Amino acid sequence: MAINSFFIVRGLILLLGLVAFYHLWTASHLLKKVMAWLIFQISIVLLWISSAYVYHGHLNPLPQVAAFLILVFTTGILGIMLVFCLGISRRHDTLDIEKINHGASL
Amino acid sequence: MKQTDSFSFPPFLFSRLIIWIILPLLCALFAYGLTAIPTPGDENPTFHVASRYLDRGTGETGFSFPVLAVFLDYRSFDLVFLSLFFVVMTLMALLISVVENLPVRSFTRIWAGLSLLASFLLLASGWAGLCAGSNFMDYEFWAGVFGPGARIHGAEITGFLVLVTAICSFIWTYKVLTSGKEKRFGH
Repeated sequence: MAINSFFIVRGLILLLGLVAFYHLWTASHLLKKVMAWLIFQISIVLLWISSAYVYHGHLNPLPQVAAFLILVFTTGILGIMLVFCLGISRRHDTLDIEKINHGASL
Repeated sequence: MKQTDSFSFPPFLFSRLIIWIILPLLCALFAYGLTAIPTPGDENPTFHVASRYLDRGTGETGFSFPVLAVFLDYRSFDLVFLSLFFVVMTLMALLISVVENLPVRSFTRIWAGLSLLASFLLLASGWAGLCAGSNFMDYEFWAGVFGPGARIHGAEITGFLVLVTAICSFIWTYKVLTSGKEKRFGH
């Protein structure tokens, strides 16, 4: 497999996605989790866009459509997550899971 | 005295352990996907159904832009899921505004109503084809009623209704979020 600049770009996108996934799993603040999830989804979208190659003078439409759908669904899920965050912050006055758990254990 | 406490795994460490198991697997999956994607200079990549969409898309759907042909016509069922998803989002924002007794003005609720109405119209137009003995959201059924040009108009109407559902849902959710913050900070 030839290592070209395009592959390096894809590798960097992959790295970005993995770092975001790590923070999605380990972050204790809910807004940080939401941001990490957003970056992870953006990396997926970028990977889809990078696979839209030319065929007979046209770009393959399927990766573009998939990327657009993921982007719209991501924005919607982001809204739902923020609504949940709103509900949690109104009850506990914080979005930090460790503080919420600490408060519940007292 | 609880003897099991000394054997309990700290949750913090447990989550770190899980992520270091999942992360290499995810990395391997993505890397495999990257090697399968053709490079930009590849003249004859494995193409499957996309080549058919490009070759016949304009003639069959009427859209000159292949992305619109796929998005609004060939893959129009995805739009139904998209519409239903935004209905869920609207209802969730509505639920939290009621449960939390948020100071949302009655005028603002119009956005939620519009979102639900547009989604209902989309489903109703889809059922019309089904009731006439055709398939759900079958644009060819409308082409049989109104002529060949009706297919592209059916796709455009579907796209418009989904767009209205999504935009109204976003505006409604934004209003709920801002009104929630207002009450929390005592404004």
